[in-house]
Amino acid sequence: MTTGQDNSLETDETLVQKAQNGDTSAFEGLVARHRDKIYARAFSLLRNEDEALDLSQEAWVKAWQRLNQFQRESSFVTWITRIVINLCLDQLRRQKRQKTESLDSLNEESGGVERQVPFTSPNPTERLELQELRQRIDRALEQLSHEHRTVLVLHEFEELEYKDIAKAMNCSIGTVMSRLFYARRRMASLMAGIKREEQA
Amino acid sequence: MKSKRYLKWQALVDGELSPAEEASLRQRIEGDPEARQWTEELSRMRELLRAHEVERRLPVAGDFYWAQIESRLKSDPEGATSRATPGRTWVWWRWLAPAGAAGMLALLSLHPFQSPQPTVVADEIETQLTAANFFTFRSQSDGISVVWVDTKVGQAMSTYPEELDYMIQ
Repeated sequence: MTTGQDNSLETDETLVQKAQNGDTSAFEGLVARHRDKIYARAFSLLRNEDEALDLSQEAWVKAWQRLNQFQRESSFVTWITRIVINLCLDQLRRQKRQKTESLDSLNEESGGVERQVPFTSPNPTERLELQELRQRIDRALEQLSHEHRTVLVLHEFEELEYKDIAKAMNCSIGTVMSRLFYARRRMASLMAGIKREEQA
Repeated sequence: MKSKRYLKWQALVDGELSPAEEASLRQRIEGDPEARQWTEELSRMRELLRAHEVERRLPVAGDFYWAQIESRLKSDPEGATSRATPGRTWVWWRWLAPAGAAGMLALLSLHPFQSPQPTVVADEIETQLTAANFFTFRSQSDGISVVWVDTKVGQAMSTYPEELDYMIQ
């Protein structure tokens, strides 16, 4: 490796300040500290290892280039997470332009939420191993269309409000609400299906 | 319209209503078993997802990951040029990495992109490998980097490679 400096005891704030003054080892320290989270967020949206690696690295590059614009209105990790989310959404938009509408989108638009019947989400009292439950959720997320998965990731994992999701996804709040509703319902259905598969 | 009711219930669960709207809706839901069932289900799914995101770790060595970031910064330090089609760069790197092992090792030995003096020097090693995995490890306290070159590509690998082919210090 390159610098050989140990930044593990320094806070993000200190490392950011040093990095803003051109200290690349401090920036490397920030990368080492948050790279898993940034990669994981990219993967959760893209569901593709190579693309997630590429765009997460690109997010770090952009962060370095824009570091002086970081005003500390949020934490550094929140700021870099927003950068990687925006890069992923741009990438998904580019991909969507090259594809036909997904079946999920068509189902949602033609069905509307009024046709939905009540769903049954997994019972929390059911004794599933934590890892098993997480894997089941992950498998279900993988099967969602990228629009529905994105809304869920931004709302449940990043805990963004409707208006912020609408802004990020360049759509109306009503669309966010509709997609979120459909996505939750679809998740319940997919997880029930996965459970049946596992028990068969 | 019924769909509006569903979305209203969802907004209630998500805390997106004004205090006045929320109070009014909660009062109406009290006497509506269907609304109560829906809000409970929506709330359960919301909490389930929030509490159980899969933890995912970087699938490559941290040093390799940083070396690629550093390389991009060196080639475009101010972000003056737009990047190539996303997704392609990484794929390209991954498959050319074996052939470019010498470049990789040299890259790991380079000084920081704005540092005036190099702090580490490594030998350049050429290889004719057509397929290989690379793993790197750095000990900051000892000031060393170790590069494993694994030629058993395609075989299941649940642990670190057994063969230590090259080591640089």
